[in-house]
Amino acid sequence: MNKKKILYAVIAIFLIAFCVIPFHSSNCIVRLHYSDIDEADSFYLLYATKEEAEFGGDKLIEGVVNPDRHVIEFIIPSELSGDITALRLDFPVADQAVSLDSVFVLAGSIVRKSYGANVFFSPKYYSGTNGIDAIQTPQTEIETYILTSGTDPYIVLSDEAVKVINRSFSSFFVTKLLISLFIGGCIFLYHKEKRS
Amino acid sequence: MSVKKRDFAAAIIFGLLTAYLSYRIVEAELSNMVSDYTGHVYVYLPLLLKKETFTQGLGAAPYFLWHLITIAGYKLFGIPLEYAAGYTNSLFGIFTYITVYFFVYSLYKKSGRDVGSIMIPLISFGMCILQPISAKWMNAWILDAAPITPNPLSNPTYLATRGFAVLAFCLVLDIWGKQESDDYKGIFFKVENGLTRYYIALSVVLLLSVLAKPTFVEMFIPAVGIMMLFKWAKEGSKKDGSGKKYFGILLKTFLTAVPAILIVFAQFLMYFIFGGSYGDGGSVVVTPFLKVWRMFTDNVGLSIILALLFVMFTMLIRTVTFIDSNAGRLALTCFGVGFLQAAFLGESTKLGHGDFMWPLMSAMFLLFLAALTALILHKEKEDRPAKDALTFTAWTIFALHVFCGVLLIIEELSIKL
Repeated sequence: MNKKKILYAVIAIFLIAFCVIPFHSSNCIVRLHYSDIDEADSFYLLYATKEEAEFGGDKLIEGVVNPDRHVIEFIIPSELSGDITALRLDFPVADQAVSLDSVFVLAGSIVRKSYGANVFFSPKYYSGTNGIDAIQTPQTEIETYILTSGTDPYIVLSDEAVKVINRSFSSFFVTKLLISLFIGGCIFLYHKEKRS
Repeated sequence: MSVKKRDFAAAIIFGLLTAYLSYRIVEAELSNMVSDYTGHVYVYLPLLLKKETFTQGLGAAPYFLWHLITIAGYKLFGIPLEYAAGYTNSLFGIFTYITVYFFVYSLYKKSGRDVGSIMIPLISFGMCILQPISAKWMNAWILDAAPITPNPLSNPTYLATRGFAVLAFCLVLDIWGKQESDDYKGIFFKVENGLTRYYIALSVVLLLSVLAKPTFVEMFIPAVGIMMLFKWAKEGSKKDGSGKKYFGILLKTFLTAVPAILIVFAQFLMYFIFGGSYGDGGSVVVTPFLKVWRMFTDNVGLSIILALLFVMFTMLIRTVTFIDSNAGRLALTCFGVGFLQAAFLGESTKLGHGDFMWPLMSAMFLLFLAALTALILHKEKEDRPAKDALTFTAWTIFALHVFCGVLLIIEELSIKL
């Protein structure tokens, strides 16, 4: 085997390793698009993990509200990838009708799942509520109205919703594959063209 | 209308369009209280306009070419500051358009193509506005974070450097060509008659670029230096005296960069002494790998792919032409230097500003120029439909970048379609 072939083999191994070895996974972002909220402060996403099965303590993520874009964003850190066992969406303590349009689950800058609010706030995706007077979706509309009251309004997300979010963390495999193919392709084509 | 007049008209129309859009962007940005334009127009310019706050203004913006021209419009013609800022942006927009036009025109001429082609103004206009490929589902950018792009339309001082970047790129390529071979006939300039005036021109262009914003030369001068040092080492290994000869050339080229380097140092000192950017006890810091970049995107790799798709595709279909050319190598080295700065440097008190991302963006702009060079200058040995299809695909990707730029401007100007 000549030197060139050894070099190619080393590069190939390096690129495969780059693709396969996980560095870190991405954060997962849950984005709620709203059309109307009176009190937009203090939305929280509480989570339980395999080690700590109960909600509470510091296991919560504060929603970042962007009033210009009408978005509430929860950034779930990558360390929780695959570790979340339950999720609870806490609303501000206020009597109000929260009107939501859609829910996006993003990771690695890609929208992994998108739902109309009428779908995401259907019984398939939540398993319990507290301090919620009603979850209403007028027929033929996507917009969903969540009427909150009481001192601790929240919606507990279902196992299905938790599964979707747990699976959404990205390990950047496709990005790494594309970069490797590009680098490998350049090296291969360069030498092929040089030979011809 | 004769063919010549028609081509001339197309060049002017696209130039005017570039100028008009550059002006309108200022108008749109000034309605956003946290935009870069607002800072320059409503904070830095008033500081620079008053005697008692002039030094404070200079400390905050020691790169003042954009401000100087805006102030000239305000003082000499009585144009209100906001409008003067719009005209200055217009001026730099059209300057970039003309330099890119000159760049592409020269490549067309060198390759023996039709220099009256409508493609020249189209490509030049496209280069002034193109953006990373984006789609709603493939949102490479964190909400409201500015994208890393060859054309950050939100920053006036960066936009002011683009024309100088094109000229510096052209000058270095022709100077290197002549240094490598006495028979070299320039692509962009008539370097066959000697290099002295081009060394002076390069020095002036680098200096003006620093006065517009130092970020381009912070990346460009080290990249040129690295390539020339590498060449020197290669020449030195021949042991026939060519290493010594090349050292003289290296030194001469380095001298052209000295005024710009001195001004960069002076600007950094001003930041410290007059309490500009680092007034709150901040400084340049080495950050963990990609820390600042990750404030702008969740997926750095994807952000590079989307920003440079045209360049990457062109590299794949013109591998040898790209990698073996001075243009390709210089642009890649610039990208390497820019990448390292973006990956490891930040300003301690305002990491989120991503101030060391600017050199990377300039390098991306140069990569586009290098890809255009490879695409236009490449000559196929034989006619093959498959090769034509690949070239067509490359231009389609370029058009896609431009289309994303058009979409961004539509969004920026809140044009309802």
